[in-house]
Amino acid sequence: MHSAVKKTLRYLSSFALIVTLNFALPRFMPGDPVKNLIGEDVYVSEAVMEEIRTELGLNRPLIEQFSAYLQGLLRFDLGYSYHLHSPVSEVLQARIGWTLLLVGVSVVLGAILGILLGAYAGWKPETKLNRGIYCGFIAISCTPPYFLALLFLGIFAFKLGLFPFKGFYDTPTIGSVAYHLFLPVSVLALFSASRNFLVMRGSVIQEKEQLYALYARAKGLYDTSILFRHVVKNASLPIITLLALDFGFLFSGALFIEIVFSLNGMGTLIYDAIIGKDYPLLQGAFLVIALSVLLANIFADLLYAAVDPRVRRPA
Amino acid sequence: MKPLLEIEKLRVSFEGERPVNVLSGVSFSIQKGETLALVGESGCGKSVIAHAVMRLLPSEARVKGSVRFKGTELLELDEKRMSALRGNELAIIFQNPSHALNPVYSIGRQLAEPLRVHQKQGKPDPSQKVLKALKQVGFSRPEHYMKYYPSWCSGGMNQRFLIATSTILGPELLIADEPSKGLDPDRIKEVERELRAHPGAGKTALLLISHDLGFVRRLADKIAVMYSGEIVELAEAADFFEQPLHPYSLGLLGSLPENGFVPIPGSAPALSDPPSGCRFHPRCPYGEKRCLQEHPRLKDTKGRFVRCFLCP
Amino acid sequence: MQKETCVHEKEPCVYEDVELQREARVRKKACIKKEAYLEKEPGIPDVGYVQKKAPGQKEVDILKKAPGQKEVDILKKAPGQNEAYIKQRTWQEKIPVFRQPIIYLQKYGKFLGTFNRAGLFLLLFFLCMALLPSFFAPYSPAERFTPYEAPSVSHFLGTNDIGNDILSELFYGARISMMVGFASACISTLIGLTIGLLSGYFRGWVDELLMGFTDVVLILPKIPLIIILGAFLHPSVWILILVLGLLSWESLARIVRAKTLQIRESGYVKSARGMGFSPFHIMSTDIIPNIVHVVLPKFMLATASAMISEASLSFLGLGDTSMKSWGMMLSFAFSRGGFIREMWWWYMPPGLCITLCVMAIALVGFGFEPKAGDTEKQVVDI
Repeated sequence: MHSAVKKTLRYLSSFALIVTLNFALPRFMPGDPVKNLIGEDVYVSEAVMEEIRTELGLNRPLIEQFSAYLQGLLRFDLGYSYHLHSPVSEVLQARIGWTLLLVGVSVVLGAILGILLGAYAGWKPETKLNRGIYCGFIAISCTPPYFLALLFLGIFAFKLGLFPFKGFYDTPTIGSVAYHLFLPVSVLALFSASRNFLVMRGSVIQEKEQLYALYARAKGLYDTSILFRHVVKNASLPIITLLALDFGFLFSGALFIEIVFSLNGMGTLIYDAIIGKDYPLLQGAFLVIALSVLLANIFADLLYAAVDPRVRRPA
Repeated sequence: MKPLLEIEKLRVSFEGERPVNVLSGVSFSIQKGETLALVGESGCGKSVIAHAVMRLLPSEARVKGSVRFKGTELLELDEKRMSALRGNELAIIFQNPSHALNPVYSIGRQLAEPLRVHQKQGKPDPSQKVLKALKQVGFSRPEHYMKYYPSWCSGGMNQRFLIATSTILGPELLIADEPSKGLDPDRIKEVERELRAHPGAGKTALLLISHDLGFVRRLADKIAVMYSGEIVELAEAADFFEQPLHPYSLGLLGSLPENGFVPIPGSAPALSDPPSGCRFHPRCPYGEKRCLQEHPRLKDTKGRFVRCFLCP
Repeated sequence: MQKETCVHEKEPCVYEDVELQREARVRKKACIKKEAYLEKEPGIPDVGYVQKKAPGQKEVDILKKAPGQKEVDILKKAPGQNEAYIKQRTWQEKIPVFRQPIIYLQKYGKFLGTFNRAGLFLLLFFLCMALLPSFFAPYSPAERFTPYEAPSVSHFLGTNDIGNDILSELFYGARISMMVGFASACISTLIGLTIGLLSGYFRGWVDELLMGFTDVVLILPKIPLIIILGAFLHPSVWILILVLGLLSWESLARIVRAKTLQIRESGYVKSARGMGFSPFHIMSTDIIPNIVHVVLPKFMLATASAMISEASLSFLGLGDTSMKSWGMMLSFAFSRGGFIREMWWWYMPPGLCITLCVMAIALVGFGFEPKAGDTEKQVVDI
C-alpha cells in the first residue's frame, strides 16, 4: 500500500511539473512574453500587443496568471495559434489521432518482434543467425530514427517505387491508410523492436540460468518449450517498464518519421510550428505528448502489477 | 534381481581454466522401491551425482562412466528421449524450493505441468489430480492454494509443493536433494512423512541426498558416505548406524548432537586439489604412513564396502 | 561392464552442436588467456598496476629524456640491488615506447569481444577525425566550388548546394557532433553521479526526495522538451549541450544509487565511517573508485544517445547553423534538395558516420560492462 501511495505521489508531481513547465516556459524564457506566447513571426502593432498583453493577463501577478492558466486547461483551452488562426486544442485534436495510430501499431509490432527474436537470441546466443540479428539490432538502435526513415524512403519509395513518398491527403480508406503507413510503421516498429530485443536478449540470458528453468527441464520440458513456457514470461517483465519509458522516445521518433514521410500527424505540425515559431502550438503539443507518456507509464505500472504476482498479495 | 538404477565408475569434471574433478569413480545401485541415502559434508559431490543422473549438469561438465536406468544407458540417450524420462519416470526435488518454482506462474499450473507434458492424450482432468496431490502433502484447502504463487508462501510450503510436483506422476526413481535443508524440526518431520506418503510411495525408489544423519536414519535402507568426490563407505542403514567402519563415518556420527557433538577436526579438502593417498588422511585420527601415499580401494567386507586400509 | 564411455567425445548428439561450439570457444579463450599471461613479465605485479600508473606518460618520459643517465646506470651497473624495481624498469625499457599502447590494448582487449574491439578501433578513428580535421580534410569547409557536383577526383563526395566540399565538411563535422555528445554526457554523468551518491549514501529522506525527483524527471519526454526549449532559446551548441546534459542523468543516478547502497554496507566503508572520515572523503576515496565500472558504460551510452539527439534536433533546424555537425549536414541534404536529386553522396555519408560513431561508442561502452553470463551463472552446488 505504501508503495502505491508513493507511486501516486510521484505521478502527481510529474503531472504538476509538466503543467508548471508549460506555464513557465514562455514567461521566463528570454524575450518578450507576449512574443513568446503568440509566436515570433506574427506581425502585430504595439497597440495590439498591449491589447493581447492585457487579454492574456501578462501584467497581472504570476499566481493569478497560473490559476487562470489552470482554469483554461480544465476547459481544454491550450491557447490560440495565431499562425493557423484556430485554437490549439482543435488543431491538435485533428492530428493526434494519426500519430497515435502510427505509434500504437508500431509499439505493438515492435514489442512482439523484439520479444520473440530477443527470446530466441538469448536462448541460443552463439548461433550465427542470432549473432547476426544481434548486430543488426544494435546498428538500428544506434541510428537516428529519421536517417533510417530517409533510407527506407529512398530505397522503397524512390528507387523501387513500391510505396508512396507522400502522406495521405486524399480520403482515408483502410487500404490507402495501410498503404501509406506501411513504411513509417515498419521504421518505427524496427526501432521499438531494437530496444526491446536488446533488453529481452540480456534478460533471457540471465533468466535461463535460474533454478526454475533447470527445474522445468527436470520436469521433462524440452528445449524451446522451457523458453516459452517458463523463461519468456519472467524475462519479459522488464519489457513492460521499458515500453512505458520508451513511449516518449517512440513518440518523438514518430514525429521525425512523420516529417520524412510527410504524414499529417503531430510531427509535421511541430515541424511547421518550429519553422514559423508558433509557440502556443509547440507548448500545446508538448503538454499533450507529456501527458500521454504519463498515462502510458501509469498503464504500465498497473499492467506490471497484474502480471507479476510478487508485487501482489493473496486475496 | 536387476537393480533399477546402476551407477558405475561415474566421473564428472568441470572444465575451466583449471579442470576440477568433482566425482572420481562413483559406483552404486538402487533396487526397486529402495531408499539409498548419500551423506557427506557439503562440497563432496552429492548433488553432482543427482544432476548427473538427471543429465542436468551445466555444459562445462564432462561426464564419464555409466548410469543405467532399467537397463538403458542414460548418458547415451539423446536429449529428446531423456526429456521423456525426466519428470515421468525419473524425478528430482531440488534443494532450493523457493527458487525452483517459477515465480510468475500459479502453484496449480506448475503442479499440473508434468501431467501436461507427459500425458499428451486422454488426460482425465489435471486439476483433480493436482488437488489430490496437494492433499497428500498435507494441504487441507488445496483449491485455495492452487491459486497461490511461490512468493506468497513460506519455504516449507514451497518444499511441499515441490515434492507434490515431482511425485505427481509416481516416478520410479525420485531424487531428493537436501529436502531437509534449512527447515525446522517440525517441518522436517512433515517432509519425512510426505516422502513416505506420496502417490508412488512403496514402489518408488528414493535417492536421498542429505547431510543430516538423523533425518537419513529414519528413511534410508542403505547409506553411502561420500568424501571428496568418492564413496568411502556403503552399507545397510541398520549396520551402518550400529557400527560405522570408516573413520570418517565414525566422525560424522560423533558429530551428531546425541553423540556428544564432537566435530571432525579440519575441513573438507578442495576438490581441485585433493590430498595424496587416502583423501581423508589429513583429518583422520588413525592415519598410518601408507595412508599418506597409497589411495585405498573400496573393499568388500561382509556385504559392506569401505575405503580404508585399517578396516579388516 | 568395464566400458568407459566419454559422452562428449563419442556421442555428439547428447549435447547439442551449439554447446560443443561453445566449449571450443571457451577452450580457445582459455588458450588466449594463457598466452596473455605468459606475455606478462614476472616483475610486474598485475594489470591493475599497469593501468593505474598510466605508464605511457611519466615513466616513458624519464626513459626518453634521460636515457643515459641515472636509471639506466642502475640497470646496467648494479643489477642485484633492488630486484623487483629493476625488473620493472627492464620491462619498461624492452618494449619500445610506441608499442606500449598496443600492449595495453591487447591486455584490455582480452576482456572484450570482437565487436567491442571493432568498436574501439572505429572510435579511435573518429576521435582522430575530430581532433585533427585539417589533417584529413582536403579543403576548408567554408571554401566554395561549383554547387551540386557529383563525386570526382577533386571532390571525393561531391559538393553541396552552396558548393562546399562534402568530404571536408564531414571531417569538420566530426568534432562538433562528438563534442556535443561527450560534453553533455559529462554534465549528465556529473549530475547523475552526485544524485546517486547522495541518495545512496545518506538514504532516508534524502533518498526518498532525490529518487522521487529522479522518477519524476524520468517520465518527462526528453525530445519534445528539448524541441520546445530549443525553439525558445536561440540555437547554439552550448545550449544544446546544457539541455541534453541536464535531461539525461536519471538512469545513471539510479544505478549509482543501487551500487552505493551495496558498497556502503561493505566492511571497508563501515570501518572508514567508524574512523570518523567525512562522508565526502568516504564517497570520493572508497565509493567512487568502486562504481567506475558501472559509470563508464553509462557514460558511453549517454554520449551515444546525446549524439543521436543532437542529430535529431539539427534535423529539425534547431541546431547551431554556424557549427555544422553531421546532423546539420543531413538536415541540409534533406531540406535543400539533396534527397530529391538522389545525391546519395550527400546524405549517406553523414548518416553513416553518425550511426557508425554512435555504434562504436556504444560497443566500447558494452565492453566495460561485466559479462552477465560470467557473473550471474549459478553453478550447481556440489
